[in-house]
Amino acid sequence: MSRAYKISLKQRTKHGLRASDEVGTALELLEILPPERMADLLAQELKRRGFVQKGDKLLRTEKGGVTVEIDPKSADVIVKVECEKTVTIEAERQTWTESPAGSAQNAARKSLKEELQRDLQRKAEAQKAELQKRATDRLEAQLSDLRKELDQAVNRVTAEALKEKAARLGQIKQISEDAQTGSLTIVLEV
Amino acid sequence: MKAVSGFEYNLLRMLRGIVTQVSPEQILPILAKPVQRPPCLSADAVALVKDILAKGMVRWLARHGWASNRYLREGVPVSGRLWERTPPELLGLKFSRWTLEFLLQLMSNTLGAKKPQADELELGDRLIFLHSYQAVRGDERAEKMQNHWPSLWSDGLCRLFFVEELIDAKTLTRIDWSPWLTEQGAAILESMQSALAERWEHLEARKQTFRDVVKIRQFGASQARVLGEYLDAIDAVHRRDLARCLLDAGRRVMRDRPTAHRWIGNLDIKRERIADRVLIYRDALAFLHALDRLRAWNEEASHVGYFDEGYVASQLWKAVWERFDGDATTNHAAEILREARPM
Repeated sequence: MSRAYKISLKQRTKHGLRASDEVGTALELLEILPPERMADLLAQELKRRGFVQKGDKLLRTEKGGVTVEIDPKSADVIVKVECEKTVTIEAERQTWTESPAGSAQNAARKSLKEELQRDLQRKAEAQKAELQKRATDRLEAQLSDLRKELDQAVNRVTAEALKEKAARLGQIKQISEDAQTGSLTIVLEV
Repeated sequence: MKAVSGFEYNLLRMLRGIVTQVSPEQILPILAKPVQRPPCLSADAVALVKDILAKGMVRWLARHGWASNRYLREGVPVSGRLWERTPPELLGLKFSRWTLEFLLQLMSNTLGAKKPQADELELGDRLIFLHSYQAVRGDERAEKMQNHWPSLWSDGLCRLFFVEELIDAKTLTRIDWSPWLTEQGAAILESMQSALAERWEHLEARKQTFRDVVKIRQFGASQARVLGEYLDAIDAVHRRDLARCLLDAGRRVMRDRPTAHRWIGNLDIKRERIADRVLIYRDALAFLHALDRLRAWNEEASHVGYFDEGYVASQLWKAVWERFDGDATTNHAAEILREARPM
């Protein structure tokens, strides 16, 4: 009667996981004033809302590591999120062989090692997918509020540009703004 | 009386089926039993092939071109039926040896044994390929045609008609639009406008059943490429009036004022990154993006003054635009595109 020999392999690896997501859009600014002036007004409005100048761009970091990057000249917006995590992944496999040593056992050990590697890979991918989902959820959670805020910012810039334009055309007699409806009435004497 | 062999008899039946576009049930059984091709066809059989092509294709053209319409001829709108807009002698279709060679290969299940070069093909050949593919669609022979008859892939009209089936894999096949932009080719293209519109309407309706992201991306990418290239090609030869099919299809699709949900609501995107969702939506809405381009064309047409070059053509464009509710159609399409933006 032959004896069975157990081969058991266990491995633990450290993985640095990274996940990111981003979305881009462009603010729809009306050409009321020359582009450079519109860009200035947009930059001022964004700074008022907590954006910080970094090179040509304005940046702000939201909750959950989401960053908003706006180029006031082109009015391009990029919202992105990046997550990093180091995880330790463990896997264990065992098999039985009839030979205590030699090529049969080596082959069994080799095949077991390959299976173990696949397990580790699968687990790492699952963890990465989880991290990616978290990153996407964080970004998605910010988008709706951000969209509203950027719409408001564009409305403010439009109103400021209209006031400047009106001042160039004549003397402003009266300005009335309704914050709720966003309407702006300028009475001019030309 | 003409006498033909059994093989020739089946070939003639199949050709008649293809030309008259009868139900595939009449053609597929013939193709189901491939027969070895004879070394040559009898003179009687060749005469009958010519007869079927001559009568059948004229009948087919008449069926599609009877409606009175206005299209450009050398920059000037001309009204009437197809044969009133273009002299009938210019509408005569030519067929090269490749029509018969294609039919013989189809019958003997040796498709692709010899393949034509693009410059060897006549318009008549191209129409026969289109009709044949139409006849075998949904059957395994359609796949064989796709795999073994490259002319399908390089022909502009085939790509327009079967945009969801002729999807390029890794390498893109160059699409040759030039045969359909010659005087004769464009005249045939004019008569196909309604058929194309109807087909694209059905394709857009089919998209709402898709759940698979990969499928919609392939479909949309093919649509974006084919429609984009088509619009580029007709624009280059100053034949924007040939975009009527797109406008017509757009009106049909937007008739019940759908929302973006129709295109993207059923897609399984939960696991997709937002960056990828943007691309998925872009492909799912490829047809609407193409409509957006027509809006820009209409804007241009409305700025062409009486003394400007292209005034008459722009007037025709505006008339077509109104007839197909261009503003309502493209505004609604733009609304859907806005709705599908992630932010």
